[in-house]
Amino acid sequence: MDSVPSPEPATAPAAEPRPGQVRYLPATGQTLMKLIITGPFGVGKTTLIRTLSEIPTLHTEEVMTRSSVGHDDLKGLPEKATTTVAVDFGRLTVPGDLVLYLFGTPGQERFFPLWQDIARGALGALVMADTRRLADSFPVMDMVEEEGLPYAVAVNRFPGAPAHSDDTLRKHLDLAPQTPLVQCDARNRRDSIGTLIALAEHVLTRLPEDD
Amino acid sequence: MTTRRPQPQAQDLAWVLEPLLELPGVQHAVIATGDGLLEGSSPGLDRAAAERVAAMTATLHASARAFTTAFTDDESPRLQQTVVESEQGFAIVVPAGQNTSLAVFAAPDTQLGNIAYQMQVQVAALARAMSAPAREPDAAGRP
Ligand SMILES: Nc1nc2c(ncn2[C@@H]2O[C@H](COP(=O)(O)OP(=O)(O)O)[C@@H](O)[C@H]2O)c(=O)[nH]1
Ligand SMILES: [Mg+2]
Repeated sequence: MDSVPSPEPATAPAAEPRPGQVRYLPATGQTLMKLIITGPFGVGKTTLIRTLSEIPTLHTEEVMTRSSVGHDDLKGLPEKATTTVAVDFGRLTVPGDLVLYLFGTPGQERFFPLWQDIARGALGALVMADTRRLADSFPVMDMVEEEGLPYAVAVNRFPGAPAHSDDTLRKHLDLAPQTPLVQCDARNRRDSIGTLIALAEHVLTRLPEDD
Repeated sequence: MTTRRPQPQAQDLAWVLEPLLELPGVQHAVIATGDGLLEGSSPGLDRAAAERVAAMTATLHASARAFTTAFTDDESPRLQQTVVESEQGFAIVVPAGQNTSLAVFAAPDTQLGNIAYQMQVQVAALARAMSAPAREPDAAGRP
């Protein structure tokens, strides 16, 4: 492996540093992309990052307290006991040596002051939605658009939630024709990878135009 | 499973905050649940401000914990305190029993050690008195 000549500059660190040597990011031909996974409370953002990440994920999950009754609506979410109060973090490498860094946001408005900081440096956003409360995704879509981030919408299918065709969903969500829409089950890896690939492709086609 | 207790009202928590507010340089104090909701606050903060502080108290505390996890691989480190220092002063968060944190804001020229010590004394008392009960599954539609 290490006999392959490296196309990287001579200053690039060796792949296997000696103990005590400072390690920088590996010099590879990989493309790194920061993406944010966002959307309202309880749509499955944390679940999606857990499903997808190839590294142990970092979470800031806190137990939902009795004080949250009347603030955080658990209707249709019988198993939800915790909520993200800062950020989720995971990583996924997809074919083509594209490394996706996934930053998940909290969903409730009281945490929106964090939003711009989490989104800083992101190249795109996955906005998640639940058909039982589609309109809850609008404030987040507004923030994403204000930030000028390309985005895709992932509709997370919950059991018992009304099913709609992509066309109907696009109409309800008032999506621009170029905005990808994917339906998924956030607990399913294939589905979830599909949503991110749709987003990454959308981001990559947008990049040259923005230069 | 969990026993139902009346939720403590904001004024019931005054005894926790008052000794802290008497310390030189301490400007504000807030008690927040782990999921970022307001349990009690000092009079210098209006309700909107106190609610924002409560949300960010949860954020800061959880971030500090995840930060420690990222360095150490310890999944559930117990934090003693988180201190943020700025030109504006010190923001200090101390965990205070189950699902609760105490946050204080103090002027830049204050004795941080003294405040931090008093906060530990108060959270010990607070932890004995209350913690934010975990939410039980919603009763709607159940017998
Ligand atoms: N049935 C079903 N449940 C899901 C799915 N995704 C998430 N959940 C559940 O829905 C709840 C909310 O998910 P969570 O990831 O915490 O939502 P977040 O607030 O957006 O981070 C959790 O109890 C999950 O177990 C899904 O695709 N299908
Ligand atoms: Mg979450």
